[in-house]
Order: sequence, then C-alpha cells, then structure tokens
Amino acid sequence: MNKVFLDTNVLISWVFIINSLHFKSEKVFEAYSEFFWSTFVKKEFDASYGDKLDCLLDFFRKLQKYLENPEKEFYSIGDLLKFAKENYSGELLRNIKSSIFPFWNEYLGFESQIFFLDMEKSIEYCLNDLSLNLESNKLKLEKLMQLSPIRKKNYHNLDAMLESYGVHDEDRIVTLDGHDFACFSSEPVDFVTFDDNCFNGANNLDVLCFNSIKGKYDFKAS
Amino acid sequence: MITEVKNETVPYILSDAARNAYEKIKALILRIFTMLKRHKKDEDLKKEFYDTYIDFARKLDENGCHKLSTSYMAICEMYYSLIDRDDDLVAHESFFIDLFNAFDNILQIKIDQAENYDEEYNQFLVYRRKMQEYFYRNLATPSPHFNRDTLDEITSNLSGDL
Repeated sequence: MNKVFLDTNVLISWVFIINSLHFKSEKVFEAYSEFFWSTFVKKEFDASYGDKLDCLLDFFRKLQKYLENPEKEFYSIGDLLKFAKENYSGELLRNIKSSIFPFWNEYLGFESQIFFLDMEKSIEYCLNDLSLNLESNKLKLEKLMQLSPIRKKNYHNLDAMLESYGVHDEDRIVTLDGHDFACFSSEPVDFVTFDDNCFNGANNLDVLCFNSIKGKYDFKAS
Repeated sequence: MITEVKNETVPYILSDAARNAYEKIKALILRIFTMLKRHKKDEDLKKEFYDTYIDFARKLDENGCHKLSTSYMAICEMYYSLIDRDDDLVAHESFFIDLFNAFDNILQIKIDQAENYDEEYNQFLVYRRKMQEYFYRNLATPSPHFNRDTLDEITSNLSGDL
C-alpha cells in the first residue's frame, strides 16, 4: 500500500479535465493506492470547484441572455461563432469556439438552422448535463480521498523557510498539512503538487517527512 | 422574504427595470408553487418563468451585479428543471424558498450594508454551492442528449488552465 498526499491542483486538473494535466493526474491515481487531503485542501478544492464551474457555464448563460430578445427566429452555428467573437477574445475565444461544435452536434443535431426556442431548450439541457457530469466526477473523487488528521503544530520554522523559497501562503499550508500527516504515518507518504513554485520550494527543504515529492514533470501525460 | 412579495422592500440601487423584473419573478415563483399544489399544469407558465428569470439576470448584469446574476441563474436553473416534475418541486418547496430567501438577503446586504457584502457573499456562495451539490447528486436527471464524451470535451475546452 502506498500513500500520497495531494495538492488541490492535482484534484482540480482531474475533475475539470484540464489539458495534459488531467492525464498526468490520472497517472497519479494509477501510481498510488491511498489518497489523502487535509481539511484545508478540501475547502480550497470546494471553492475552486465552484468558481471554475461558474466560469465554465458563463458562455452558455451569456448566450441565454443574448437569446432572450432574439434578433431573428433561426440561428446557425455561424451566429454562435459570431456571438462568441463579439463577447470574448484571445485564448478564451479559441476555447469557446472549440466548444461550440460539440455542443451543436450533440444538442442541436446536424440541422444548419435552429429555431431560437429549440436553441434555448438545448442550452438548458447542456447546462444541466455539464453540472451533472462534473458533480459525478467530484463525487468519484471524494470517494477516493481520505481526510488526514487535523494538524496541531504550526511548524513556524518550516513555514518561514518555505516562504523564503517563494512558496505562496496557501501552498505552504498544504505542504505543512501533508508534512504533518507524513510525520505521524506508519507508512511512507509521497506528496504530489502540479504547482512549480510549491514543488521547488518543498524539494529544497530536506527536513520534510515526505518519502518523495513529485511535480507535474514526474508524470507523463500519454 | 420571497413570501413578502407585496412588501415595499425593493432594492433601491437597482434600476426601475431591474426592480420590476425582480418583483415579477418573485411573484411568479409563488404563483407556480400555488398552481402546482392545486395540480394545475400550465405550459405557458414554464416559458414565462424562463423568460422572466433570464430577464432579471440580464438586468442584474446591466446594474453591474454579474456575480449575483450568475448565482441567481444557478438557482433558477435548478428550479426550472423541476417544473415538469410537480411532486418533486412541491416536495422541495422549502429547499427553493430557502435558496431564494438567501439570494434576497444577499441582495439586501449589497444595498444596505456594502461594507459587509464581500464576506457575506462568500458565505452565501458556500451555501448556494452546497445546495447545488445536493441537487445535482440527488434530484437532477440527465437530459436526452447526455453524452459523457461530449460533455468531457466541452468541459476540457472551457476549463482552460489551472
């Protein structure tokens, strides 16, 4: 049995299927048999999950508001792309454009022109399904994770050292939660984080109780 | 406060149009519950609810309240998806009344106690998300188009980076 303490970014990457990091997070789950998070990581994960979900649904909600007073009765995929271009730019626009095609094919079929009321219904379906699918991912994750005991020590010196290496406030709490858990565990515990700052800072401290500290470059996406 | 539709407790920083839209949606929610309890079906009411909540959400955006608009839509999406399931909606009346009341409360805080708003909004957000978690785990059902691969593709595209 090998244990691992996970940082929030590994969990978010897995649930939200974030680029190549999702596949790396899958490798993390294949590599270990017991997965731990602290109360702080869980809380951070919940907040991050909610924020990301709202951002993810924003395009479809904006589209709903746009269609409230439709300029015409029938809409094509070109109209959706035009709407996206008028409201978004840069990488977000590229991501939205890539999402319009699967949405159209799955929820609207292969018709070239769609009545706006059917479009409204399809957006409503899509919003519901996206939330449902993500909640299912989250539930699967929660079933895998075990809560580590509440940390009682502050580890002021270690905290100061991590800070001196440029590790951010939240990442220091996560690292020290994992360290505390590893110190009292009867079996070796690894720590995995996809944050480069946190990974480098924790790796610079050779007094942490982890068996090994791993970052995103330790897991191959393919 | 959702039960006090007739009271003159309308948010004063909102435009007249937004205030009217808010009063309209609050009254409509009560009307829908009343009709469903009497086992009366009305397809037009469902469409009216959709149009009215989207209208209010749009007006919140126009008043610079985008986060509140998002939250209101998230609540209404759950309510709307149960309108065809009369028994479930009526059985969860308190679930929705509590959510709409919480929204009403946070809107009032934004108006009357701006200094406390950020902290109160974060608490409201935690509550709203807990309710959503319950809803999508216990009450929501997949649409006829539910396809995990497609949803994963859309999710991956729209999630961006960490």
